[in-house]
Amino acid sequence: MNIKLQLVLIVLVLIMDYIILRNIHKSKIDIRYAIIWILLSLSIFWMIIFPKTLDELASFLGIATPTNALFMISFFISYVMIFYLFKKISIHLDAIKDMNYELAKLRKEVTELKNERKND
Amino acid sequence: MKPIIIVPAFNEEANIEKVIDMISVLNIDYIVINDGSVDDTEMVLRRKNIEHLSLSVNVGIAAVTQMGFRYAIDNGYDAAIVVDGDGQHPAHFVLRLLEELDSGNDYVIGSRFIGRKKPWNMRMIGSRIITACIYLVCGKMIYDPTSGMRALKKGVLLEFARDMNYIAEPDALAYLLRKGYKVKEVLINIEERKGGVSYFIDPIRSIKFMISVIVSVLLIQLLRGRNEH
Repeated sequence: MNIKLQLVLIVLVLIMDYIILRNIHKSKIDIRYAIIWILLSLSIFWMIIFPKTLDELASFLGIATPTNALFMISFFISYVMIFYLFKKISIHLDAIKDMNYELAKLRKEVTELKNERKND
Repeated sequence: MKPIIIVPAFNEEANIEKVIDMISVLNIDYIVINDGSVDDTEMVLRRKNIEHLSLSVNVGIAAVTQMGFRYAIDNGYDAAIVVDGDGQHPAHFVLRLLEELDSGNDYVIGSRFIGRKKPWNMRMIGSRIITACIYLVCGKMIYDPTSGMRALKKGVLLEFARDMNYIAEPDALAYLLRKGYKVKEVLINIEERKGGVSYFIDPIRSIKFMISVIVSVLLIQLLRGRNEH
């Protein structure tokens, strides 16, 4: 990995960290998710500062260049994270459905009670 | 058997009243579920004192019918019939469907095509493809797999009220057939729509629907295990 690429990556990671931290500060991101992002950016930082890790990893996996190894790993991590998001969305959809139903039921009961009162 | 008619309604201000008039004649309990309509459906329901649930957010037809099933279970019903709020399902066929539940079926479909010729337009070609997919995985010919008019007995009702991971009628059907439920088709006549627009007017939507249903029937419903509750 040449120094130019290292510098560019460091700047990118720093921007990413800034965004993460600012969002934590404004309580816009749940801590549990912020942790994932911080760990991710720390590991990217590690890879940039000690590119040797990446070299070793690349040769271990039989990938020609360390940059390609980095791409592959990032791609895989993104894949996992997006799947996790899909799963979360499904869970939330179910929860919204349940609440929607409960609310509709309550609304119906309230209307019925009101009507009963009127008739009394 | 204590049945309830479930009427999903989304923007059906023009039709819902007539549908309920037809249903009231049958002397069977019913519940309209207003799926977050943006027209005056809610007003009509209130003014006419029609039994209904109104949802805060639009959830789509599959989720709405599920809520209907849940409502049926919560209120001690042991059979449910889905009749669309757009007036396409003539209500008197409800009795035919109930008869078939009584004679031991778990899931009765109001079929537009059983023992009758299906036309050859795009939509019906889609319907044939779905029929073929269901036959492939379940070994049973269902001539009208997309029909929205259905009657469900307690077992199926419970299953769908608890956990309903399907996108539409066909894959629900595939799931039930594979579970060994008794499914039967009964001929019904469909009325032309009196107002509103059909969901399948948009070709991209239709293609998306077809692909989703095929994948669900052929792959997903086979893998689904029983959700423990």
